[in-house]
Amino acid sequence: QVRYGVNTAEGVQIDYTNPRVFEIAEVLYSGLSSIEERALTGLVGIKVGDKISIPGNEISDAIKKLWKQGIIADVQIWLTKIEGDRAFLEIRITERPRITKFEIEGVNSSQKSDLKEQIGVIGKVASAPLIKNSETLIKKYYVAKGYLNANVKTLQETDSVGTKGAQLTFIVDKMSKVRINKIEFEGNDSFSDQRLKKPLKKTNEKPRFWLVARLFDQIFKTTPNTVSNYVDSTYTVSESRFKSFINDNVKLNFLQSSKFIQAEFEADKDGLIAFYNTKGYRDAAIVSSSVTKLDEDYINLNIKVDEGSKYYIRDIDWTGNYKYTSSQLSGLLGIKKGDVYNRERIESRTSFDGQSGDDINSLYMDDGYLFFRLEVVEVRADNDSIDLEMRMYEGEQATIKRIILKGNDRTSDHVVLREIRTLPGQKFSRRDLIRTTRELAQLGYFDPEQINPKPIPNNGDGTVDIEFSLVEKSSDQIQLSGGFGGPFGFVGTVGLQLNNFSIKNIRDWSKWRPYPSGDGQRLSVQVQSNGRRFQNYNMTFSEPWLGGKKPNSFSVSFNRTVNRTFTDYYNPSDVNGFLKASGFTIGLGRKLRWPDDYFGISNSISYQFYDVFNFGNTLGFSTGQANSITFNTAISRSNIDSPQFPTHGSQFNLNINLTPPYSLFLDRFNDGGSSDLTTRERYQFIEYNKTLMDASYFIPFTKKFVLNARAHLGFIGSYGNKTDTGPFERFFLGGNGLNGANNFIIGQDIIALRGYEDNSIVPVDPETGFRGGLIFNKFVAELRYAVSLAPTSTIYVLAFGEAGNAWNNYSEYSPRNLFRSAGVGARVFLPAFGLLGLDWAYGFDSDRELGIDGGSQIHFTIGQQIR
Amino acid sequence: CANRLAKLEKSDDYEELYKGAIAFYEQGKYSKAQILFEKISPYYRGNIEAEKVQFYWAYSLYYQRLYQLASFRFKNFYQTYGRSQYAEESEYMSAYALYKDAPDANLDQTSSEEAVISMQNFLNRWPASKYYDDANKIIDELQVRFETKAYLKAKLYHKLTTGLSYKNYLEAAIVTIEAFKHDFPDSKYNEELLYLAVETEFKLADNSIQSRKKERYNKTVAFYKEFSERYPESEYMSKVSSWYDQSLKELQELNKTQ
Repeated sequence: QVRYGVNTAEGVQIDYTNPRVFEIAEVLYSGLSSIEERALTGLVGIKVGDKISIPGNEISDAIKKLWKQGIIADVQIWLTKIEGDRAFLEIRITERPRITKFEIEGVNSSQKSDLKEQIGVIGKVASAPLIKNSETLIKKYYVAKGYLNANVKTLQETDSVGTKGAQLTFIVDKMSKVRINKIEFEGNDSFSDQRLKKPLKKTNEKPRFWLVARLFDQIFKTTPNTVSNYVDSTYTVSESRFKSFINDNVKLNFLQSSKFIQAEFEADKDGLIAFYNTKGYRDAAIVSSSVTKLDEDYINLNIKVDEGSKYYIRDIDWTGNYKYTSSQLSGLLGIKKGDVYNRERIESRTSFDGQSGDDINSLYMDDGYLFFRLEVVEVRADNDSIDLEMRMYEGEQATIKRIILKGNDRTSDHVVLREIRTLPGQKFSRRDLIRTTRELAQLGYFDPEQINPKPIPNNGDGTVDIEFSLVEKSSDQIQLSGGFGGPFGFVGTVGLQLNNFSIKNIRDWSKWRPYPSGDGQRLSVQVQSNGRRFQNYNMTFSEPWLGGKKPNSFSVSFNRTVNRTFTDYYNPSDVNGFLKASGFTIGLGRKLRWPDDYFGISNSISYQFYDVFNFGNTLGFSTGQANSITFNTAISRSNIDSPQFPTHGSQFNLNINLTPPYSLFLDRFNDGGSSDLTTRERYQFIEYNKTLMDASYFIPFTKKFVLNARAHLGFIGSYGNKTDTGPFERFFLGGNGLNGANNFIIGQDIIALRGYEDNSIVPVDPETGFRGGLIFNKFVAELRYAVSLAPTSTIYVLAFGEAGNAWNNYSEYSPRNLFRSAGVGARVFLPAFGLLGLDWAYGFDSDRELGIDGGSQIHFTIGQQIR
Repeated sequence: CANRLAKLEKSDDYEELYKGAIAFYEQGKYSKAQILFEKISPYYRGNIEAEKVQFYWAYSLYYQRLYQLASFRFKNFYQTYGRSQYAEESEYMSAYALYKDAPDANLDQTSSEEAVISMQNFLNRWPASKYYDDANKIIDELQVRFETKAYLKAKLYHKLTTGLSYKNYLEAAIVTIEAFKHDFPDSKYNEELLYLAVETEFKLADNSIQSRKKERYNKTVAFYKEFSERYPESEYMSKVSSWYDQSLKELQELNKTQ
């Protein structure tokens, strides 16, 4: 269609072998109707007075540019006349209606907008190929979703607005999704159909349960003759026959999709071959696979395999190894002569065998041998035996020279660099690289899936630069919630947690994007209120590397709570009593290197002031003021692999809170004992000590299936016998453990125990009337299964059993007397909102006397709970 | 006004849309203008208005500080309309938007690197441009930024040598300082960094096992010699000399024991 300077009688003869430079005397456009000439001159780029060679690049470029716009049906450039070295050009354009509007019918709105983005036809000529391409695109889109029979038709009409415009309507008939009824195998002598379906990860049969139907079938078909078969004990049913009977009639995979998607089926076929290869069937191949259409909705799959024979390893030979001997390497390889030939296992033992890092490649790669190469070569294969040769190239040890960061658009270099374990001057180590990647992921500033360290060797000097590609993600959390609860009615919460704050940049407006960020500091602000009755303000700032030299964290927080009661519940102007508490906490934490570097210790001091007026016995007195100074020491160890869905590792916490022992040195406690003290004197300085212990273990069954076992213990005590332990910080068990809606009272330690009502397991001291336990125990076993591990939304489901109790007297403490429960639940982690959870639990142990109700309970939780 | 945009967004009257887009643009309502320009751009392909649409679209993005997108649009403009009177401005703006996008030295400098390349390309193509001096200034400024970034990195590793796991970082600091010297031989920071290299190498030698000590004190001496040759008048001279003297003494001791 595209031609120029055609050698016809019409134009001028052009000598293609001998291009000449002409000065353009005239550029004439013809055939234009809706397109304007001036607009084309810009695109064509050839003007009167230009000197160009004909034939030459300028003219072919002009045609390409015009063509690329997709707005014309045809273009020809003619050389109409030559006068000396002056050339006259004519550009002949053929126009066709251009598309001004297109619609997609028969699809839902989200798919429509998806498709509309992919189909860019506006302004283009409605040519047959363009329409065909668009139809194919739509069809492919639906085939990928399992609609194999999707149909697309296109209606073309002239636009009513402009006379030259065309309008397209793509009419889509998705038809129904095609599902797989059954998968059948042929030629599989060594493995059952059942076993071979497992490697087909994404290609699954639809669920079925025909047992009952089959049984009915059997009963009605039973003749007296065959009955004897069932009764006769000599008629044995072999295990494999039983299995295949079950396989034919039962398929209970409700969680898996049975959609048929060609691309995934192709990948699964490779997976099937890989499975055979791991079992020694080196030559296994799929002879054919066919799809049988049952009806519009269902198909059967038939896969014909050729298993080939099973191979064993006869000999392993090492070449090129200078640093380690062949027997050392063979020992590490862990594959012996006579073993089944499992190519996959050999690959993983020689290149990368998971986190354990005890494969041959790690042996070298963790010791600077960046250029290490190992090639596994089958030197001979006879009958069922394979001889292997391990061809190695050890190379030189490489030292790290530079660490290069890419993609940190928000987070400062120093915040990232100080976490990196692969340091300049050290030998290259793959293990350190992997650990660094994991630790960078845990910072929460980058998308864990996209952290990509790349070693870039510098030629000649035996050094290597390591480039970390990072993709920033926001780890900030917004909390907006409201709920009805307890005596307060509606309570609203507004919270904001900025996890990558920079206090240094706070005064520089140009660095607000949208707030000053990048120094890895944390700032959180939370306000809870329901008007005058209840208000709570909370602000926390923390810096993980105080001073920038050591990973010593510093944090400071302020809080204020106001709680009022009214004589008339509905008239908030008439205050009957109040409790106001304000305080601050300053803390310092540091990582330890002993006993190992997973340990950390933190110390904090906090001061809290209580001002109470006619407010019941919550603090042990109804009117007065109290001061509390607490020293807190927390020792923790954590080596879990991921904060959102840990699969292995453990966490341990020991938390000790102490107030100064006033009763031991203040005179007024000495004369006559505590009974003579007024409550005001007794509680002017609050006194208690408290110890909390938490242990949590994660045991992986598979990567997505994890057992979490936890134990939590807590004790509150007094320093001597001059005073009691007081009403402070006591344990309240039961429910979701949220410090929210149902209970805003200060100075209580609220601990979840699913299967029971919120804060319902609360012993009461018969003498003082103080509520809450002085001791609590809680044990949890939780099975977790990850549904999605995507960083944007980690989702897992869980089943749990737990037990706990609280006692207010050490003499009553009996850790075998617990309230037990079991249930199931789900957790969703959304980056902007944190962890949201929903549990259903059944409490087994009700105690009517104490008002503890078990039974069926539903709990909603927000945030990661420690206990 | 928001209603006007909503109404226009639904409309298929392209002339109306065009007028609306230009009006929004001239009123400085760039986000609204951008939405309309994006919508009408395919329709106006090949029309005389297309040039204006593309150019204003790019500027709408630029004024909204969507620099990466703006740079792409400007680039698209000068590649399509190489003959336009705005081609020069557009090519400059394409590079300039990248420059505006480039963050401080403590962040990733990919944008800066791209900005330098496109500024250089601009200078090559338009040597007589009125933007010539500005472009040169920007290139110089970005070069200083790369230098500062490398300097801050070296300083960070040095700072970490005074921290908890300082032994890990001693070698890292020295290697980073040497890499800086290699990458920016003329930098004014070399004086300070070389001084820190003497300090750090001495500290490293001091903390070494016996077998490594000699080599590292020797390296301290070498660093000292380089420093005193290059910066004899330096304010750090007295400190550097004291490490030098101590290293010599340590070396004598080591030679005696062998």
